[in-house]
Amino acid sequence: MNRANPAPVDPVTRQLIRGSLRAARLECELIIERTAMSAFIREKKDYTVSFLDRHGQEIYGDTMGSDILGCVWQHYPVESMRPGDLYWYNDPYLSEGSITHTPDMVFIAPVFYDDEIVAYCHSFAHFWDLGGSRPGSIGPANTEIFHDGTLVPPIKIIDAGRLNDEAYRIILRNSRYPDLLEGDSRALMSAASRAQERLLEMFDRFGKQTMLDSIDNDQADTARLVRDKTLELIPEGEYSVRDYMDHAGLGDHWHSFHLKLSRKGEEILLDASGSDDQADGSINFIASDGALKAYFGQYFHQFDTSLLANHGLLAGIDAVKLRNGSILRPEWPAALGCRAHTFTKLKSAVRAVLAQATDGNVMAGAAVYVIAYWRMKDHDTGTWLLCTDGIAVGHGARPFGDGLDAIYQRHNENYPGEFMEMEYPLRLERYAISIDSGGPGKYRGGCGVIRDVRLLADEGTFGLRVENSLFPTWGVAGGMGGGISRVVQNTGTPEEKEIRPFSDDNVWKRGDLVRIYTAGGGGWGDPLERDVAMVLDDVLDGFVSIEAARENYGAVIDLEAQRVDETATEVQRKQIRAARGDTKMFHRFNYFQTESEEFRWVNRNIPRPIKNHVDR
Amino acid sequence: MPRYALAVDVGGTFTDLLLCELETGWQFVHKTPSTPDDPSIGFLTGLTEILEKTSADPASLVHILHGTTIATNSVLENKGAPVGLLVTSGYKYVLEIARHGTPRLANPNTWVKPVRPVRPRDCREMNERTTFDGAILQPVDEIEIARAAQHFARAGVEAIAVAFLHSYANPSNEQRAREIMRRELPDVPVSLSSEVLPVYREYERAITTVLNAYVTPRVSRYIDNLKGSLTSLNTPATLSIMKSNGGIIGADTAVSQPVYTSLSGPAAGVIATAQIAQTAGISNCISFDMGGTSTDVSLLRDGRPGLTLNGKLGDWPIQLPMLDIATIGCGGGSIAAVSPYGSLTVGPDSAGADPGPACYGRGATSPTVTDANLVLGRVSTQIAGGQLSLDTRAAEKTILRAVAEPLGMELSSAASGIIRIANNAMVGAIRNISVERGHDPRDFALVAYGGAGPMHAIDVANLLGIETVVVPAHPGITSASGLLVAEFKNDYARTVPQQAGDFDVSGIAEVFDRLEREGRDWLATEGVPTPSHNLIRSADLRYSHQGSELTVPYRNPYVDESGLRDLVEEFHQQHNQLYGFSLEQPVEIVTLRVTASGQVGATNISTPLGADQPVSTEVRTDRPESFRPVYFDAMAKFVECPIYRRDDLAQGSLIEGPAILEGMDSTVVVNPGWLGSVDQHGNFIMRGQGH
Repeated sequence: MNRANPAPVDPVTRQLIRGSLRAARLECELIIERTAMSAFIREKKDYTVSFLDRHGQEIYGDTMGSDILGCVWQHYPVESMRPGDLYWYNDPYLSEGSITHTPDMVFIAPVFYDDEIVAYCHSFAHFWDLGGSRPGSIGPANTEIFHDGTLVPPIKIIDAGRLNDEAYRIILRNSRYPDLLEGDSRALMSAASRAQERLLEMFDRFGKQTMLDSIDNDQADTARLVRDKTLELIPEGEYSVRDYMDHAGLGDHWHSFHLKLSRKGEEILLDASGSDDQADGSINFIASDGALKAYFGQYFHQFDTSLLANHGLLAGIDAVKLRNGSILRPEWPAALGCRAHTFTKLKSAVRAVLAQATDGNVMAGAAVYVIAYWRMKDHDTGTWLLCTDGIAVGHGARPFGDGLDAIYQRHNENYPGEFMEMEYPLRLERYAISIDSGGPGKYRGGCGVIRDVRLLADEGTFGLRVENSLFPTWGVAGGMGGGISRVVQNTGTPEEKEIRPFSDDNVWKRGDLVRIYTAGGGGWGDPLERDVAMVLDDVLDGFVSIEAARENYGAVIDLEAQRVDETATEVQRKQIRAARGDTKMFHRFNYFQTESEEFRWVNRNIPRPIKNHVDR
Repeated sequence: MPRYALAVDVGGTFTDLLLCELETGWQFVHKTPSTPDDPSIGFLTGLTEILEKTSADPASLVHILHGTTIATNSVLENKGAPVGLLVTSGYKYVLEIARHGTPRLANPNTWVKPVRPVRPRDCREMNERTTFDGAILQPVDEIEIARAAQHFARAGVEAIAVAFLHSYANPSNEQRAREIMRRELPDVPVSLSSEVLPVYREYERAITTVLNAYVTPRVSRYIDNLKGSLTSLNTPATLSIMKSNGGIIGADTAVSQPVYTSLSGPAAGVIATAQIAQTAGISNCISFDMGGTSTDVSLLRDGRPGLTLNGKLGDWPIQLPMLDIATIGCGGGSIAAVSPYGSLTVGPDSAGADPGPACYGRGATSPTVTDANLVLGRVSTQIAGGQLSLDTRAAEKTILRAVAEPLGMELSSAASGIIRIANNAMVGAIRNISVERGHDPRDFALVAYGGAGPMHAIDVANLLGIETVVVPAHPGITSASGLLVAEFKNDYARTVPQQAGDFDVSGIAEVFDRLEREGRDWLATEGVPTPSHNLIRSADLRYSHQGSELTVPYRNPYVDESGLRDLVEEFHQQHNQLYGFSLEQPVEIVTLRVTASGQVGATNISTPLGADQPVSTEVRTDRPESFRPVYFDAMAKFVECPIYRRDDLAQGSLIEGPAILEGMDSTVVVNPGWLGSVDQHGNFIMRGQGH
């Protein structure tokens, strides 16, 4: 990538270097996992370590096309950097979206070999709290970046091995939980420094020029893979997708983004300028060209996973068009804290684009992972406690099998109920699969969950970052959309009330119970083609109700005998098929073939502004 | 009359037997094919054969020590019994939901959720509740449990697991549930989470308890079967089983906690390593057990292996104390391939036993690490004492076609590349286990065994900067020899969260006492005499808010303020050593532990396997049996290399690399620049001369 024709390196050495990079990354990430303080990092595992080349482009890691170094160099030119330096920032605007919300902190160490910078190491994690409007910093009610937390522009936190104590004290002073902040930042610093040591050892072992050539070759190979597969799988034409966010935390109207991928000859362009204007609330997402390119590249990487995920992931798309002031390119100082709503749907939308190019051969839409901010006043000390609870959702069904039930997002883990109850005045009374939440399909979408949390402290508030309460996930290739999310307080009692799923400052008092139903993933393929034995299993295990089995899958089940009534099923399926007609590429509310077809339907049926869609 | 101990280690291919005469230490090795469908057949065949060969009287057998994979294989091959699970109301889906993650490097587009050993339909919710501090909010409802029993009976359940919330803090609801279940279903074994793994985190505790239940019927039938056969052979020998923590337990204990035996074989290998290292005068070493499909490595500091609570069994986390053994998906059978975009990969796919490597001549078309070794002359065409001949041509052909030609490489550089890539994977894994525990591998020796370990050991040592490599006399039966030297050992733990700066000293003392009492009682039932009882206290500590704990020994003989202060101080030190920093922040105790161990006098066999001889200073000059061309990376060419028969070497033999030692069950490659010698215990100790 950096040089058109890097000198070839023999394939054995290449593989040795790749293997060593993988092992080094594992080791450094382990340091973070074992030593970080906040539960967000150690239980939810929201951290990564990446290696970048001397141009700031990824060698191996998880920076997903972001320009990590750009804003650092603006303040600290390369010539000013010294061995033992460590840079820190969390500023989404200065970094132009290489960081997308303020809790995400990056630490960057230049790696010096023979007195020159040969690479950079990067450690990243989502921190617990640094300033902002409420404990946990970000939240549904924020409207400015200042509400989202204290901004750390790129600073040199360690100067040639010496900790910048003044800056560190200012930052720690801005957190409600300085101990956690200290522990987490120490863990990240330690990981970055270990990463640096390992890279230096590799330069010693393989030689400087061989390392540099090998890195360039790796990037070129991944680029070649992504480019080839893009051209192979995407025929000439235009592919458009629109997805919708329920609302922005405040206000009552939905927002949408629009992606159009077009291929003309060998040129591939991605145009996101048809997206809505930026939102008043915190769901804005600063998309960078690199990130959008990398989302596509990540899909094509699966065709040769022996290659490293690196800067080459960006090679599929030639140019990206974004519009300033849109929800994907918001202007300062828009709030960004809950951008997960937008970017999770954006990642699914990449698959919706590819679905059109590949006749539906992709995973269906995945629900947006959920965060609940449980806040409670500690009776003894009078201080406020915060439990940031990451909750699972259902993921999309795949062309070969069912979607994943109850997954947060990739490898992130939940809090055990026993941990929550031990650490907080909360009781987790129910943690179950949410029946019928998976989108019906030949392969069923993953189910979301039900989480019942009761407050044992005298008073508290809670914030909810729950999407998909209005717009469910989409099904594909004949599969249907997933079930929606919902939040209810004191269900089944005279005080029962619906809670707006994306909201903050909800009040609860001792004994109140909040129930969250999270959304499911979309289905894949025609549900009438689902193997009835799989439907029966789903019914017996509580993933699908007997009614839904009949209505959505046309499967008639005799619960007493624990078997499928084959004859009745055949009749039922015939009837559904006749009433329904042919399936189409996508489904959400209805089957539709193109995004404009759905857009018309949505505008007719869910006009904006939406009338308060939650009954209070 | 002489008295004997017999070690029986059942592996995937062979069952290894080692008979030892207790008074003299005289030993005899025997191998017999394993019988995977019913491993007790191989066990008994081997037993009969070794008694015949040695003319030993069955009545003179005192101890039989057994390493078994029966529990592991039941889980890995989904061959356990149908299990019913009782959970607290609201937690029916605890196994399905687990911790909501995919494995860290899994691709969400392709990863498939593993099928749980119990389906939700057989998980029954009970209205009962205990809190984290042990208060019973709601006792169990007998009628509800009886109804669950009826359901389980209809569903054909053969074992029951009970995993109630916070039962580690107070087991009484679980115990009551078991009483009722026993009344309703007297023949169905019940596993309680408060006994199997009484520590917090409901998913991990539940899955471990379910797996325990899942393997109980099969393990119990197996043990009964063995005991019956021993009786009919007229041997009075006691039967003991190796556990994952490196200790042995009596067969009856094993039946009640079979999941504890899941890493039996590899654990025995590590215990043997400790013994080998001790006899070789080495205190810090890394065990390197390279087999056909995978390689196990572990780190021994001051002669002692580490323990981990983060073990896995197949797809499942098992948070029981087990020896800290890392497994790498790379062995002699690992397949080398060129990816569509030209990268040369080795593993994790393996040729397995069938068809095996291409050189086995069973029609395999994918080259393996073993094929590469053969092509480079590092292994003989005749192995296992001539029982198996290898086809060099077939190996060459597959490497040429699958690797060398697509990449435009010479055959020998392709073959050596395959080996180097495999070795690099080992190095990464060894690095990770070392640094994870704050050590530098350069301060350790490598103890190599397993079929392929001694062939790759020096290459791996060179990459790690390790200067000493030890190969025991019979690398192929290392696990069996570990069984002979293992102690009786059981771990007891209780989660008792202690808030920072406010330790309940008498509460802690009470829990330690209770755990020690349980340990002593158990040792007594195993027949360990009281003077040999060894009880070691430790505690899991963390900084407040941290989510993983460090296990720190409690060294003070008394439980008091100063002992706890020392404990906390040692925690800070350990944290600093492991992670490079410690904090001036509150520390909390999460779990208290006691390890109870002891030797039954007669199993105290201090001499390891090998031609034990009086110490001699004589240096022998051995003559090679033959010569053949062998490729060495450092020289980037084939050299005419002397080949020695391992069995011909005796104490004092000095072998200078390049050289190859061929033994019955493994081949040792001595690289150029390394010098090996045989010590009086039969260990072959090689040292790098270039350092």
